[in-house]
Amino acid sequence: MVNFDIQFAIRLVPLMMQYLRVTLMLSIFTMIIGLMIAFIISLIIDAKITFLSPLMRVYVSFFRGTPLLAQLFLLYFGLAQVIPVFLKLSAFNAALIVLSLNSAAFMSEAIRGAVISIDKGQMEACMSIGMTYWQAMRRIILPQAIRTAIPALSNSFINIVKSSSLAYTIGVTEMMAMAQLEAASSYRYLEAFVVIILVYWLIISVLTYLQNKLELRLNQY
Amino acid sequence: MLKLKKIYKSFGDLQVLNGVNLEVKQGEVKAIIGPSGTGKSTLLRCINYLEKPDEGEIILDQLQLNAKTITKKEIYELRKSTAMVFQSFNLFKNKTVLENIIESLVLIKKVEKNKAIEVGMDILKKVGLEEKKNVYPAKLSGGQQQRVAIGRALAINPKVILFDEPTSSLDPELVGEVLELIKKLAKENMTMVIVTHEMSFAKEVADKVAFMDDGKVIQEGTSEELFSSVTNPRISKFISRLSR
Repeated sequence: MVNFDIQFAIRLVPLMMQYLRVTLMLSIFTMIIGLMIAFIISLIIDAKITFLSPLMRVYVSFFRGTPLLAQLFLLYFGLAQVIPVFLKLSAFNAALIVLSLNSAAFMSEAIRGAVISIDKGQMEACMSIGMTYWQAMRRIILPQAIRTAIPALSNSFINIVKSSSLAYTIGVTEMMAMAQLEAASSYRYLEAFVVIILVYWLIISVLTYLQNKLELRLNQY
Repeated sequence: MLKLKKIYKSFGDLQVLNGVNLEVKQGEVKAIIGPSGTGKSTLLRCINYLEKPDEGEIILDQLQLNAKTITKKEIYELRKSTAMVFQSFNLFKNKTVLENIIESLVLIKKVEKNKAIEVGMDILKKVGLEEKKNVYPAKLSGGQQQRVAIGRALAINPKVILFDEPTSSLDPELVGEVLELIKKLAKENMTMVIVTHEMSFAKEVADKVAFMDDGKVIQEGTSEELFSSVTNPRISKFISRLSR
């Protein structure tokens, strides 16, 4: 066995936990903003609104079809050269914007798929009692669709947590940046990256546990 | 009260309704029978504007709706005074029995919640499902679900209820309870249009029976007239095939 400094590894854990806050904040804000955008996109596409609907399809195609890292660099380094507003943007906010826009593209497809899977009879029943399309969506279709979409949305959230590590490339000091810093200064790359991988794994395991709880709760009907 | 004038509807190249005329009087129960694929259900769905007719006029009391000029607002007006009962019930799966019934009251008619629950409970009493008020539709039998669906239709307080083969997806032993409920409504002079394959039921409950074929009403009369003195070979063929 190569020498693995257990004590160094253990000492890293509390340090990581300090920066876990940044990772979680970035992830949770991304999820909230991304989910809101995703709902809007999927409804616009589902309602087949003229002009907006094809535009949203292009949006989804772009964010699903290009690497997240490239999108991050384009906004933070590229667009900042031409659009002054982006110059004032902090690295954290830039990461938040790109991650939200990116995850929204994936989540909107999960939501749209779930909406399509709902029996057509549900919408007809809504129409027949005089609901508008939006009332039907809000009261009947989306609540049922969300239940179907939970596994896919959880998957997206897991991806968001892991993708947030890319923020370190534009200078956000989150967990990954911390691990990189500690590894470089001590030359103990193995310990640092083993610890960070275990921490990520732990976070995702907790999320999966919460997902199962949520699915059970939504299974009441 | 309800009058359909020259309703035309096609799906692509398929002409489903070929200028249907139909009149339903206040308190009348009208059964629509005929072979499959002759547009019975489509006609019913046109009355509720779940399908938009290509041409024709629907007159419901003072509402006069021409397919060419109808507005969204008029469609909502029409739906506020017509109710639909579907073959596959289509109860709101994420709502309890009581919530299914009061949904239109609270959301569309803006009735206060407490008052809506009161009305909802009265309706549940009528359809005999008071004790199921907090149950989700998935936990009910088909017959019970269809009774709730009829309750949901009643909550709209419609001028006419449209039944689209209300017993076709039920197990034979559950058909009775639904037909009984419809009979009860007939006794209370509810105006109803029923697309059905239950000939004996049509005979028993319907004041008038309309026979549809090829997208048209080809004969209409009381059930005795239609079933006993059949002059049209297509109708006699249809009826003899059913009674075999």
